[in-house]
Amino acid sequence: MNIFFSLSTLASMVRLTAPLAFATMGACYGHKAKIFNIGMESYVLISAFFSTLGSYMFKNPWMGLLFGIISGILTSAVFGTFVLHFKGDPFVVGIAMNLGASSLTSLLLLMIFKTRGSFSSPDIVGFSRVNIPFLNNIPIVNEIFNNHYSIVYLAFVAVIFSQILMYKTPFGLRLRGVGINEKASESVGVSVIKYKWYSLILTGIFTGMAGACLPLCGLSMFTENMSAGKGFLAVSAARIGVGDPLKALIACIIFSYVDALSVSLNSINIPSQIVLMAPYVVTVVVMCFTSSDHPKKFSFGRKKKERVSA
Amino acid sequence: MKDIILETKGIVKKFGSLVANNNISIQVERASIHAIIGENGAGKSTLMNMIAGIFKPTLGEIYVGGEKQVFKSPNDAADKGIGMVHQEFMLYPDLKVIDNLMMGFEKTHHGVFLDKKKARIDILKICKGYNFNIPLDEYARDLPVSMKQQVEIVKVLYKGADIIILDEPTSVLTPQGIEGLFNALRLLKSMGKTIILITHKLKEVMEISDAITVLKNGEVMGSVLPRDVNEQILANMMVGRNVLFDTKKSPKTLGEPIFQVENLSAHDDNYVEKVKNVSFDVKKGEIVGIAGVAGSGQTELVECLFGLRKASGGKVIFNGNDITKKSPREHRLAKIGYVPQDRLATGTSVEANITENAIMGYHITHGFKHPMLIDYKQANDFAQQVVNDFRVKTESLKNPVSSLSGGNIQKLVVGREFEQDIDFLIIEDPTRGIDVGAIEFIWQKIIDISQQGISVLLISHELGEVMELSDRILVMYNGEIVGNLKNSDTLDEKEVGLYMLGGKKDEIAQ
Repeated sequence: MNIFFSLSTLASMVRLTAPLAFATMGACYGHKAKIFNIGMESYVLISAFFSTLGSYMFKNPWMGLLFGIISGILTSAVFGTFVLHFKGDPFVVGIAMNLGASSLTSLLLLMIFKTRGSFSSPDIVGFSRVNIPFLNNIPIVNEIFNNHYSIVYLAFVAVIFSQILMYKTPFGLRLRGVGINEKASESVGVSVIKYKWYSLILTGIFTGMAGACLPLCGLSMFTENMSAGKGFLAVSAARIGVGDPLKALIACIIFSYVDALSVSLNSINIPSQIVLMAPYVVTVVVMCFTSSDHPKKFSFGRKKKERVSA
Repeated sequence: MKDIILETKGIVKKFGSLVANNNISIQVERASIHAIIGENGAGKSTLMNMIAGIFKPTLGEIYVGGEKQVFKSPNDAADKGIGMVHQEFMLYPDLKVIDNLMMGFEKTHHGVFLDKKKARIDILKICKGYNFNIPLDEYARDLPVSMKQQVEIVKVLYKGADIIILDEPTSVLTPQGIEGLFNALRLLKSMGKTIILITHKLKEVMEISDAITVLKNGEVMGSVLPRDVNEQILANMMVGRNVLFDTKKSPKTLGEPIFQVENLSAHDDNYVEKVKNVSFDVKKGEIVGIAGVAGSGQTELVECLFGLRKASGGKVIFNGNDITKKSPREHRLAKIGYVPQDRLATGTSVEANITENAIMGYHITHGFKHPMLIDYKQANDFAQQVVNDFRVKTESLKNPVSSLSGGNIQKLVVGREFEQDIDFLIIEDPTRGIDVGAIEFIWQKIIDISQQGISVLLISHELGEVMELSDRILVMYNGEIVGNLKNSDTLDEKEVGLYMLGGKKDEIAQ
C-alpha cells in the first residue's frame, strides 16, 4: 500500500501530468472542432527534438520552449494543409506523420548532432525547479506539489486557460459550434475552415509545449522516440473528457498516476513489461466505462428526455 | 405606390452547366407575407439562398429598400436585415438555446469574455415583444420540433432582421403547430416585418399569403394575388399541366385480417420504451394509415414489424404465422414488402447502380441468380420494367442512384417493392420531400395496389397523406395507439390533430 500512495509516487504523478496535460489541451481543441488528429504523436516528438535544439543553441530552456512551440505549429500546419486543403484522410495523414516523425528526428539527430540513439550535453539547459514559499509549511502538500520544474506549473495554467477560452469567450463558443454543426456555423457567418485552422494552431502550440517538457525536465537529453505514446494518450484523454479541458485533465491524472506507479513498482519484484503495459490497459478500461454510446453504463453523454411537440 | 422592400432583377444562378435560376425578377412589398411556391427543384431555395447571402448570383441584382446590394456572406445580408430560417434547422443540438442564439453575434465584456446576461436580456425582450416562449437554458436537442422552429425565428429576429425568409416551415409541424406558426407570422407582419414563405402546400399559401410568386424550372411562371386564384390554378401553374389531387378510389370489399399485431412493445437504442403495448390488424386489401407527431414511436414500431428491431414483448402474426422473430429477409420471403422512410440511408445504396438497387432485397428470393452468379440480363430486364412502369427519369441503368433526384429515387424504391409478388406492404413516408407530380403518381400507385387485394400499412408524418389514402387511421401518441378512426370525407383534420397531441384518447383503441 505504501507504494500506491507514497509521496514520491504522487509527486512524480504531478510531474508526469505536465507533458500529458499540455498535449491533451491540444487534443481538446481538435476534439471540439471535430478534427480527428491521430498525428499528434508526431507533433510531440518533433517539438521535443526542436526544443532540445533551441535550448542547446541558446543555453536557455525558454528558447527551447519557443522552438518547441514553433515546430509544433509548423507540424500542425503540415497536417492541416493535407487534411483541410487536400482533403486527405486524417487517419492516413496522421499515421504517415507519426511514422515519418520518428525517422525525421533520427535523421536530424544524425545530421545536426552527429549521433545516433540519443544526444545529451551540458549545453542543453533544462527548466529550473521552483520553490513556492508558502507551501513549505504544509507537510504533505509541500512534498507533492512544491519544488517542481517551472513548466509543470505552466501546464496547470494551460488547463485553466483552455477551460476559460473554450467556455467563456466568443472564440470558444464558435470553435465548439464548428465542431457540432458546420452548416449552422456557415449560416451565421462563422468560417468553418478558419476556426479549424485556429484549432490546429492551438493544438500545435500546446503539443509544442508538451514536447518541450520531455527533454528539458531533468533529463537534458533527447532520445529517439522519446514521445513514447504521449500524443496517443493525449488523444485518448481528450476523447474521454469529450474535449472538456477539466474532464480531460482527470483522465491525464489517472494516466500519469499509473505511469508514476509503474516507476515505483519497478523497485519490487514485478516484471517491468507488465508494469509498462499498465497505462495502456487503463486507457482501454477507462474508455470502456466512459463510452457515451453505450446505453446502460455510466456516461458523460446525453440522456434523452421524453418530450412531445406542441 | 407600393412600398417595395426587396427586389431582384434578372437573377441567374448556374451550378456548372445546370441553370437553377433563370432571369428571376420579383418584388416583395414591405410588411407583407409573400409566398414563393414551386415543385422541388424549381429553384425556390436557390433563390432564397442568394437573397440571404449564402450563394452569389451568377448574374442579376438584388435591391433592398431601393439600394443595390452585393452580399459576400450571410452576415452581409443580416446587416441589411435579411434573415433565413432554413428547412433543415441550423441549430447546435449539444449547445444550450442561449448559446445557439448568440453564436456569431456574441456580446462581450471588455471585448474578451462572453456576456450572457446582456444577451439574455436582449433575447427575452424579443421573446416578449413577439410572443415567443422558449426555454433559454435547455439543450437544443431536447426541444420539440415546433420549439426548435421558434428558436430559429427568434435567432433571425435577434440579428435584427426585417425580412424573414422561411423555407418550408410547415413540413415538420402538426396542424396545431402550423396554426401557431401562422399566428406568429401574422403578428410579425402586423409589427412591420416582411415575410417570405417558401412552400409547396397550396392550402397554406391560400390561407396566409398576401402575394404569390410561382416558380417552375428556375423561372417565374407568374406573380399573382391569392384572391385571383385557387389551389387548382396554382397547382397547374407549378406543374405546367392539370393535377388531380383527389386520388381515384373505387369502393372495395375488405377481406379477412391478414396482419395482426398483438400487445407489441419495443425500446429505442437508448432503452427508452417507444412502443407500448400496441395492437391492431390490417385486413386484406385495406390501407391502414398511422398518423402521429414525429418521434411518437412510429419508427420503432415499423422496425419491429419488419424484423429490424427486436420487440421486447408481444407478437406479430402474418397469414397465421408468428413472424415476430423473423429476419428482414424472411419477411421478404413471406411476401412482405417495405419502403423505408429514409431512401438514401436505408432505401438504397447510393453508390450502387440502378439495376443493383432495383433487385436489392430480392436478389436471392426471386431468381435473379444462376446457382452462383447474378443473371444480369434478367436483373436488367426487371430494372427496366421498374424504370418504365414508375417513370424513373434516368439516362442509363448503369448510373449510380446518387445521380437521380429525390423523387426519382423514391419512385425506384417504391417500384422495386411494388413490382414484386407481395401480399403486404409497409410504407413509411412515401412522399417525403418530393414534388407534386411524383406525389400524385405514388399515391395513385398505392391506391391501385390495394385494389388488387394487397394490404398496405402506411406510416406518414404528413397528416394530409394519411387522410387522403387510408381506409382507416390509427393515431400514435407517446408509443401508444390512441385512436382508431374510420376515414371518411367528414373526418376533420383538427380532430386527428387532437389525437396526435394526446388531447383525446379512445376508450378502446382496438
